[in-house]
Amino acid sequence: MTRIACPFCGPRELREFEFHKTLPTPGAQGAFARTYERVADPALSVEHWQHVAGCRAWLLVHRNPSTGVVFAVELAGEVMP
Amino acid sequence: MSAGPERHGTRLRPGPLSFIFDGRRYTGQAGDTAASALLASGVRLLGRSVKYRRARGLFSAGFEEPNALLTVGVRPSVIPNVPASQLVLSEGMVLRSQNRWPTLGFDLASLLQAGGGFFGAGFYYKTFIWPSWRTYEPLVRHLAGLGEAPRACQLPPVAIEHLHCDVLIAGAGPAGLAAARAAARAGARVVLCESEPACGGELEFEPGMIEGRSAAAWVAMTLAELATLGARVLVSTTVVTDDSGEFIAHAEPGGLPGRNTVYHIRPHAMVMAAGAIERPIVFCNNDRPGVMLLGAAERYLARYGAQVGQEAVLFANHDRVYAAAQRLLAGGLRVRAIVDTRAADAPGTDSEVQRLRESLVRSGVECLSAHAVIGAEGGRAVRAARIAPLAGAGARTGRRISCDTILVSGGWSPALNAGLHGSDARRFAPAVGAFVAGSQTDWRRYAGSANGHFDLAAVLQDGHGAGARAAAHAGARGSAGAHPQGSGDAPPRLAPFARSPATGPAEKRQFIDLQNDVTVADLRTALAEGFIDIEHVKRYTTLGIGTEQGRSSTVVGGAILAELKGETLAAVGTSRSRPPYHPVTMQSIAGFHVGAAVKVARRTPLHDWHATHGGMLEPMGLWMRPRYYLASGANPFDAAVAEARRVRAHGGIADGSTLGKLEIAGPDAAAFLDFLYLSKASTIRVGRSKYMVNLREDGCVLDDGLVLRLAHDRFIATTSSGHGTHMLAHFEYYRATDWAGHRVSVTDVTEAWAAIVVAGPHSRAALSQVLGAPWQGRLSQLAHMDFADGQFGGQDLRVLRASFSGELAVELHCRPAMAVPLWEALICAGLEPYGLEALDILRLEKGYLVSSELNGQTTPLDLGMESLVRQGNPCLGRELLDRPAFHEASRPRLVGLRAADGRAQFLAGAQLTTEAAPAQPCGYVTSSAYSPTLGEWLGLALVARDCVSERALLTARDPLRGSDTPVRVVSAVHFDPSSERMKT
Amino acid sequence: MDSSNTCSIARGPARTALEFSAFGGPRPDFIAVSWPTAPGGVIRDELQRPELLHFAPDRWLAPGPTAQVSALLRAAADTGAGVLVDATGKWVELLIAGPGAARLLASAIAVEAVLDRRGCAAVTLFDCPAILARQNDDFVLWVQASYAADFIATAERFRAMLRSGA
Repeated sequence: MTRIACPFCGPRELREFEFHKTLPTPGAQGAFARTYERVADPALSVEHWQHVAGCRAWLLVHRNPSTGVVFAVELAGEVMP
Repeated sequence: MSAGPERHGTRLRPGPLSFIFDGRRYTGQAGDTAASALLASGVRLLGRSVKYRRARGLFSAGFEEPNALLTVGVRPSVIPNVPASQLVLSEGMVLRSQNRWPTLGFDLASLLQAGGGFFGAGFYYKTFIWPSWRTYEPLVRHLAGLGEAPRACQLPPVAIEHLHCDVLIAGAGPAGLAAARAAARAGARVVLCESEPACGGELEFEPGMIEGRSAAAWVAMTLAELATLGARVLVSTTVVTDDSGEFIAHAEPGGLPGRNTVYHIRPHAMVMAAGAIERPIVFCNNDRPGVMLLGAAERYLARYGAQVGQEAVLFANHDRVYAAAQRLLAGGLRVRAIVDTRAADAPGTDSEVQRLRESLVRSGVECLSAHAVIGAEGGRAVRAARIAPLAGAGARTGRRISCDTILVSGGWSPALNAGLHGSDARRFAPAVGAFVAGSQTDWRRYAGSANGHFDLAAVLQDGHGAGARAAAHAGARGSAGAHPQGSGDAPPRLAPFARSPATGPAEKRQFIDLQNDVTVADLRTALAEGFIDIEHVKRYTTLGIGTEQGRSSTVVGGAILAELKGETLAAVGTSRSRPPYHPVTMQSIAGFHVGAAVKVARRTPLHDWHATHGGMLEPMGLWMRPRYYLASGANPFDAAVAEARRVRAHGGIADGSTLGKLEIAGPDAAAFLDFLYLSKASTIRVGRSKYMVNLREDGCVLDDGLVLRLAHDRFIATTSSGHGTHMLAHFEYYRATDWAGHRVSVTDVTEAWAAIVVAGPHSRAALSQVLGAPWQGRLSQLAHMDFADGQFGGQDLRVLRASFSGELAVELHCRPAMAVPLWEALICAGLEPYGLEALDILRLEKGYLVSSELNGQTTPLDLGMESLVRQGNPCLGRELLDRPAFHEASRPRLVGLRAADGRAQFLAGAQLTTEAAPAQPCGYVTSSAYSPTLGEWLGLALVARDCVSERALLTARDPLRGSDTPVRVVSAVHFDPSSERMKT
Repeated sequence: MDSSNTCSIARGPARTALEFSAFGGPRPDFIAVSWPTAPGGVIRDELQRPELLHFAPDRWLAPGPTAQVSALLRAAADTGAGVLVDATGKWVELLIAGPGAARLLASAIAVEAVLDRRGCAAVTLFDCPAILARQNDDFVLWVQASYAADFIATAERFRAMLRSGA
């Protein structure tokens, strides 16, 4: 039962959002690591999504990639990883 | 053919109606389905099976119907495969049976029955091979398939409704109604969906007492209460798909695609009360017309007052057969015998059932225990049932009881597939002889027979509980009240029995899946060939893959497979089902994407002008853009060449409104743009523009455009039309993440400005004429890449001196309301429009780049932008641009191409090879066009650096379009390399 | 014909439109008393027509601003809290009025849910980006101009379907 709660618009259907990328691992040094290297954690993925069919805000999403369950959704800029 | 006296039934209304079936006229009553009206008219042959073309009649009264699929309507707009049991008749409806030629009565292909041995399980892997499949294909295509596809479709588009509710309940039988009432009383907003046109489920024909009322009265009272509590009851509506918790329910009133509605329902909690589907017992020739499900007879009688036959033999493995027999007798059907597979006086026999049996025997019904129907006799219709004891004397041969109907019931399988999640937990319930729901979540619960309850009291209580829990989960705070008390038919006390005993040859005619002609022999074959998992058996034998998706065949098939393997049904399981639960039309899936709305089309402010002046508008991405104008030439090639020639010789105007425009402003705007572009924006003077390139974080070129500096802290960044939304997201992304907290904003103003390109030698004169005195001086002083802001017609106008054509040119940016007046004024001043094709010729002559070259895989170094790179601006992507891989000799390089003979044509996409390695492409042609300016074909290409040198000879190989053209590498700037024309 | 499902779609006049874009992060207290700060917040005129809509984080739309609203926005820009952009021509205003208005919009989106506890919402209707708001018992929306023709055509098709009692 998945909707995403856009921090601005409230809960909206999944199809309104677009995944962009997973964030670099914290502490990653250098452009190569930040662009390409990721640690795949089956329990937690920290990602940038955009609410393309709504307010177009960029969102920081904490998600369980194995189950698809979304833990938290925040506006991207508020918390810098 | 008349139908006799008026019938009475819960679904009927008075008033006759006539319809046509296979060319003959019949009469039915208002409310009849095709099935009930044909039954009442004595028609028993309704179709033929798909493989063996065996005669078939009605089997059921629901959408589990495998046989009686009809084609509705008149060619070319026919609708095939409509179950007769679901199709509500309307006056004058035209129906045809399927899978037969020339007629239902005499079908040539039924001669294939004689060759039955060739079409066993997996026959299509073993037959039609020599000399080649093509030999047999035309015949097979003619014979195969289910129904006929329409050549034209006049179905109206669907209505759509999105809605949210607290509790969604699928199924309005006793469990669903109890759940709905409980949830609504607790204060939840309830939506109740029911596939049938009427609510009540089996309460439509099974008598019972609920809360002191008859079952029918209780149903009516509950529906009335639901209405006052604000619940929405959607009949003829089936929940077909679950999309991440948003359920799609499909309403098809009358059982025929037409005025369909698609509901998108998002509930907080859901109750699945979809009931159970009766399953048959398999015996020899159990597919003859006249063999039907027991419940079907009860339904046709109660709903439509239609008898399924004259004389019936009932065959079952549970107690409910006796109550059903008594009702059918009372309704006028002559029940000759009841064949019960269970032993008489089995422990726990209900005294009520005992009394029923005795009463039936007194009425002349022969009640047999520990017996089975081992075969049906008759060809086009049942003529007798062959009955034998399960053990002892006479077990092989049995004896004959003449009848025209055999009503079968092997129990009921909970419709768990309605839950739409193949992974839902399920467990085998021996008392049910099938699978019931396993562990459930608070937000989605099953109720009623899905949990293994079959007696009315338990069903009502279970439904009530599920509804109350769902309402609580959805946050409703009221009280659901007490659960309804009721009593109905005695519990089934079922003893699982999947098929009657049979000898080897007889197994070839024991049908498990009627729709696909899958027999017990086929299962044996599959097992023998190594397909032992139920999923493999399903695919190899085609068990359960028809329109009814195995509703009445999967559990029986699983049970028989278990028997053949020596395992239990619990171990064998059933195959996984997938949505949609019920067939849906493509029209429903399309939703609003029909006709012109198949894909949304964006229009520029000049769109209507183009449309009315011969502009050939075509979709480019989401935008509609004029490819060329009819006045210039009859075909795209001639028109484009004429337009390009005219621009260079005289001048022209083009609609550039699709250009992406982003207004970037704030104290940190300049620094922000320095970050996003290869070269610095902060060095641009106010009033000036610069050609700039965006890199992606990996160093590849993302897009290019102009950046205009409007003020110290305000810029307009233009992006290519094709990348518009993508670049907006790119800018917004970095503003929201890396640049959060900085004082810069990004606003999309693409649609706030129309853009008109005015190009060519005559452009300045025309422009002066149109813009008038206030602009004269400013225009003449406007240097290349400068812009000036002012007014025209009382609205903002920006004149930007930039050129994509290589001609003296400006871009006029004006408010959309002024676009048409400005455009028309320029036309009056002697300029004519040119379209995208001409635009492409002009830019190619100058070596300017579009998305063919900026394809996301090229770096600025590949594209010859070394000077921009050398500026050393530490922008996004700069670091990874330095990686060694981007400096290897095999990297592509942008070059120009011309035909070696100065005449030949070569096209974009052609692969380029060198003389040294004629089979190994070293690059490809990215763009090509015929240049009227130079009188030959020109191209741009990306070629491996180590293969390219000025004047190198390559071959453009185009196997797809059948040509090999020798080409010569030249400078990418084919025309006016010093750009004198646009810089004067 | 079911009159409870009728509605009208009327195009509003072309007017100036301003978009205010605030800079992210902590901002000086430029917010006047009447400024809508809550997500989906709306200021309305005496006829309940929206004057200033907070439709996205850090973004406000002023469709056809009065002198008063323009002054408010300019003052905010002057304090350095954000930027005022002239977006005239970007949006096409439509009024969907009548008892069937909500049902018409429900053909595209769960309109009650999307406007739950907010005056306006940024949405996509029939693939067209739009800003939706209530206006008394009706709905007003601003569709991005290039999509307007398509949106109106699809909406009219559903309007006709609902009127004829689908």
